[in-house]
Amino acid sequence: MGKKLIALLLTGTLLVLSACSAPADEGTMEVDLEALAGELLNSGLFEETLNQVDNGIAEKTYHIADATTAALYVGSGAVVDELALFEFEDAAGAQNAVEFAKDRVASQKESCEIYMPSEVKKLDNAVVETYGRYLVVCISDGTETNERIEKYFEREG
Amino acid sequence: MEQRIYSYTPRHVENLPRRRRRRGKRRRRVSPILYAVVFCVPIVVLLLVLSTALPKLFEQDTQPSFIATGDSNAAEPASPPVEEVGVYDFSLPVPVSAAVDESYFDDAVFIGDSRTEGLMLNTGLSNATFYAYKGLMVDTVFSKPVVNQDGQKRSVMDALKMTQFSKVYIMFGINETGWAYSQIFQTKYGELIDGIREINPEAVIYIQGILPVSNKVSTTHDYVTNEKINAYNTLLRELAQEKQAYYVDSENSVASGDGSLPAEAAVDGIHLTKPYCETWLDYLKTHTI
Repeated sequence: MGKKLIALLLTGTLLVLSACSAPADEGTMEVDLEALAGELLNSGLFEETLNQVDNGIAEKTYHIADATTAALYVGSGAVVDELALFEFEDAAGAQNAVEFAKDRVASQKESCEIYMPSEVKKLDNAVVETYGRYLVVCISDGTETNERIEKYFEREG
Repeated sequence: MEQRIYSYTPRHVENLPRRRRRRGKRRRRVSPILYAVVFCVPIVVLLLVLSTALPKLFEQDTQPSFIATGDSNAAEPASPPVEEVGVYDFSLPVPVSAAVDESYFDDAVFIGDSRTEGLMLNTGLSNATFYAYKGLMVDTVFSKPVVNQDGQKRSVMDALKMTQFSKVYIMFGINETGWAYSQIFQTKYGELIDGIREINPEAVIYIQGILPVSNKVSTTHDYVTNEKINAYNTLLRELAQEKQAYYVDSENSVASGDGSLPAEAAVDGIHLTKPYCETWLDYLKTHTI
């Protein structure tokens, strides 16, 4: 009887410990967006050099008003390559902004279909993903972009 | 005989506190200094408020004045905010002026295509309003719902009706170089100006000359050529004169000696890189009315 009780207690303890070791709440992870941008911009993903846009243009372009941090990197307009990174108060904020990001991609696609048809594929493969309270939009010709970004968040988050 | 001295005190006085019954006591006069403080302080405060508020009310008044030539039916102009009062020749480009700072564009709307979109993205001019989209043209400004405003998609002209502005910068033409008839471009552009005037008759309208393309594009593209762009710019100057709008020769901000866009100015020979967008903006800052 005593041994059974001990075994039961041990099992319960192990179960509790395994639950505690579950991944940290994504909403609380801290990620350096500037470092992420640097890694992506230098990875050969983009067809031309992207420059960071200043002064709230990111929020204006994406119609996202409640981001705590926003960074937008664009090229000259010759290609549609673009990188947008947003941080919000919480994961819900990031989730709410996804629609606006998808709108931006759709709007670009509509324009490109007539004037830059060769760029449409990049927009079809655009990465629009949330990672906790972060939203990442990446329009490029790169492959496995999503995996690359996921690995970054796993590593740094 | 005993004399009695009667003293009469009126009944209403009887009820007054003793101090107030004393006759001959003079009221204390209010200090003149107190009067001065009470009346002068509000006046001083009002003058201070007016001295700061009044200049701001007048500083945006940049509606130019000019003396019309020839046409006696033209609106009576006032003298332009230039050194001397004279005739303003609308067929000529806006002359160079003292550089304005970016706040000049607080009430400006930029309407255009992807190149104007590039101007916004590459210069960070977030205080101005930009209605600029890839592929937008002088006719689709009326019809294509490209502006996301209050959660609704609107055409540029519909969005303009809901926008506060006092100056407009327009640049179209690169996408229209493929049109069969140049005259249609001029006519449609004229309709755009009329539409803006209908929305805001007082707005300063800047017609920007179309920026050139690189020699490589000009010599290889089917219709986007510097020859066509130059022809369109001539039509735009005529239009500026007709509509009494201001032609800004933005093309000269980035053109090389032969009138083409330098190869390093645009990766694809058409869309300006960041440094060249900044050069373009600097040109606009030094060519204002």
